[in-house]
Amino acid sequence: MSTTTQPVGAPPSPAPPSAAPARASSQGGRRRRGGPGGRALGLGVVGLWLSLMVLLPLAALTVRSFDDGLSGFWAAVTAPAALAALEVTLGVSVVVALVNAVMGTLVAWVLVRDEFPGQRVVNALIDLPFALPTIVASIVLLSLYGPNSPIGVHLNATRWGLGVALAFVTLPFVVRSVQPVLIELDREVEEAAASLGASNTTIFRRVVLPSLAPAVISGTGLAFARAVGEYGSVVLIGGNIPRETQVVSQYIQQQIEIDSPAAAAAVSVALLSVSFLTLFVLRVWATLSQRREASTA
Amino acid sequence: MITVTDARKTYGDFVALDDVSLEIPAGSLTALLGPSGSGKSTLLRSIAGLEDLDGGNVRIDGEDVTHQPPQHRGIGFVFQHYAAFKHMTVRDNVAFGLTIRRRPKAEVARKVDDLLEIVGLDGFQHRYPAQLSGGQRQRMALARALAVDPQVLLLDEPFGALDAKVRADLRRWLRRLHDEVHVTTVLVTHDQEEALDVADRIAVLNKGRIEQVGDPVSLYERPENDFVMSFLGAVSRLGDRLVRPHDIVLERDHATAASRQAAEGAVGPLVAARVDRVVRLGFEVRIELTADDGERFVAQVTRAEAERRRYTAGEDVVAWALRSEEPVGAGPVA
Amino acid sequence: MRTSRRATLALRTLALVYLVGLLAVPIVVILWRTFGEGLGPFLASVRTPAAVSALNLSLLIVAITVPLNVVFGVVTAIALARWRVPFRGVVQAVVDLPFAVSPIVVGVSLIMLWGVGGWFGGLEQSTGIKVIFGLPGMVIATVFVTLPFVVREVEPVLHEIGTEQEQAAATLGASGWQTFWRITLPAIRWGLTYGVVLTVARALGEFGAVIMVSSGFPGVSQTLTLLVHSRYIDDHNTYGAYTAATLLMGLALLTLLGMTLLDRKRTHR
Repeated sequence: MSTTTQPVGAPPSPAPPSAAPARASSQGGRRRRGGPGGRALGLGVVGLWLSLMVLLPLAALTVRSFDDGLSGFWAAVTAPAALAALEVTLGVSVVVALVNAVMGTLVAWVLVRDEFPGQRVVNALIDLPFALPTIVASIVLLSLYGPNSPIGVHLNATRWGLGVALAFVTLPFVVRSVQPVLIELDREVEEAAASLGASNTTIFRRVVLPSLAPAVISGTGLAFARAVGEYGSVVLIGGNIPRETQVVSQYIQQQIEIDSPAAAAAVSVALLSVSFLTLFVLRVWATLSQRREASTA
Repeated sequence: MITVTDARKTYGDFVALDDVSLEIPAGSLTALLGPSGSGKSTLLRSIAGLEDLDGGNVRIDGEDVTHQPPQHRGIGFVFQHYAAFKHMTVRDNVAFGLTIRRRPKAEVARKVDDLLEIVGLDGFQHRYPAQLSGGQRQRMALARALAVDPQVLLLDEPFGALDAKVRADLRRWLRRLHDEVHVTTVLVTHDQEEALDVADRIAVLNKGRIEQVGDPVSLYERPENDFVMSFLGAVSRLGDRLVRPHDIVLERDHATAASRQAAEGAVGPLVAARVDRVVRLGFEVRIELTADDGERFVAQVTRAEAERRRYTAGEDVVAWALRSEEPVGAGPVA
Repeated sequence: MRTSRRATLALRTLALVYLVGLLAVPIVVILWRTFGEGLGPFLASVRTPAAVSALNLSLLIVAITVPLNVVFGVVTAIALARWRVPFRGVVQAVVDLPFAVSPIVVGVSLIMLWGVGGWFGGLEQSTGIKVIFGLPGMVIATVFVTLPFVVREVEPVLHEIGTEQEQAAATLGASGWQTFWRITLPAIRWGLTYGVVLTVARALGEFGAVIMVSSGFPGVSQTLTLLVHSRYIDDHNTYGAYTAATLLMGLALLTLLGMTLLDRKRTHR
């Protein structure tokens, strides 16, 4: 920083006040910076865009799900096949979310705390299900676990098949939500616990897990929300057998195909409600736990 | 010249500017000095047009710019955190205002080269801001602001993010630059030393109001109230008055103190006190005392004076002040 | 927490077995099935007229979707980050909505709005523009599912860079447009590119929403994902489904590579 002290030199005066001022013509216009006209236009465009693209279709869906009245809606949602599809979907999704909660945390742990050759490749591999089209996921899993399985494992048209497909597409959620927390985790706390004589199990249960829990739960919730609506990855391997492996999205599609759009809309609204409720509970819970953390800090 | 009249700005319940009026003479280097939340930055940003006033107006060289966007005010603005255009080289940063105005390439090149030389960044043209130190970035920002020949140069805590050494260098450099360029300059700072060092006029702000405006010496020597007194340097409370610690004289007894005070033509209380501690701080010696009424205060004497008088802890003295104006308002100082 | 060598190895093995069984082995198997008979049959299979038309349609949909999402996504992000937006929370939620909606439900919603008997169903009768079972429907479905990406990638960048650079440009005389083109856009370019990459990946790969609104005729209204599906289900052409899937996977891997590289660039700046 020796230059800071060097003399100012004999400059061609950069800014004599008398020189042509930079000010542009300024005939007292009441123009505000940015221009409220431009902003109003921008806001209008944003509102119109979001309404046309997102809100109107969902509004149409909701309104038309009551085309046959409240009773029609109720009948469509409580039709035995619909209930069965809902049951299959929720059941498999819960199991898959829980499996990925455990395995995702484990994978994140290994990626952060362990060191082994090829780790970066493995880390990149985690995002594969996000990048891979769902129909490709379906085909890929079929090639291994389908009718011509080279290892003799046939999961085609079974709930196991559904589970594998959903586990595949929801794998990244828990890993990617736990990983950053694990990286930021203060290792001194663990060392302090160890110096106080705590065993590894105790440290993990009492020190590490409580810090990871919010991330694990949020990742699991997102995985669950994704799983209940999933279609592409289960469409080939699932088999679409009513009451056995037919998931809600497949049931909805079937209703459209047999030309009962009101029933399709009604079950769609039910499915939407499940996803929204999951995400809403997660949001509320995250806000609450953040507040709790802030108040104890 | 910048004229601010009855400027008012509120954020919800918070009054940032409480009908502030201020004149900034052309060619001056004026410091807006005050604690955080005093409204000094809001005032500067209102002059720049980066904040909209709720009331009052701003004139630059006689023209009412209150409702002008910043683009049309003929200003140069320097931000505390440099606001460097990160994706542009130093050269493109400095040239930005000229490029926007579609000036001929040759003119832009010549001007940018001149400015980079002035701010001592010649040779850094092709670097990116991320490759510069904080002080260099701020000089680049200054060159950028000067490139458009602003009528006024506005600096918002320009050295606030720099470390002490660079800061001192840079403000002396700014002073020299101003002496050569003479562009009307307004500098916001919360550092009284910086204001006294660099500015030829200081406006002290507190709670959205201007407490006092004047040149550095008169503000330091003749503060109009407690706030200005205590914000512009160290103060000790002697009896019912605030005085500068270096104006305090300590005598062994009441009679000597009274006669010396009379001889100096000074007025004010004579305070009996006991020396608690004598601290040598290089050239100066700080003497910590407790007055009879239990009030603790500090006197500052030169090393020579301290050698001569040989103050020791536990010693009883009588203190008076060389300079004390009217009794200052009651109440604790900020 | 220091784990013993044995525990470390056990955890590592367990994690890798899960990943290998779920991700790696299936990929290897499909590659082997695709290329097992050599490159010639693969190329022949992805060069049939139906396959070429599917690739073209997929790319066309991407080419329409991306500019739409860039323009409206950037405006939305700027509005959310910089302007006083009424009901900001609601707007934020609407932007995120598509992430929470099942692709099939997207399809049903669009049929309810644009299809025959839908709210806007009259459009088809009056103008002859076929939305559902036509290209517009597939584009709208793709826009719906990809709408959040650009906004979600650009908005945080706008917050992070703050307003100082834009204010500095204004004090230097730049107009709103000049500030946007010269300061804001370059500052958000990596975030925007990342959003575009995610949009492209999702647009190429979208299946559920598109199959609901497409007539699915080979060579006409089949995208690559629909081609994979119809070859497997309708034509019982398992090998053809594998090759088309491999082609899609290649595109996806390119995207993944781009994501990784961009992510590094983004975080290093």
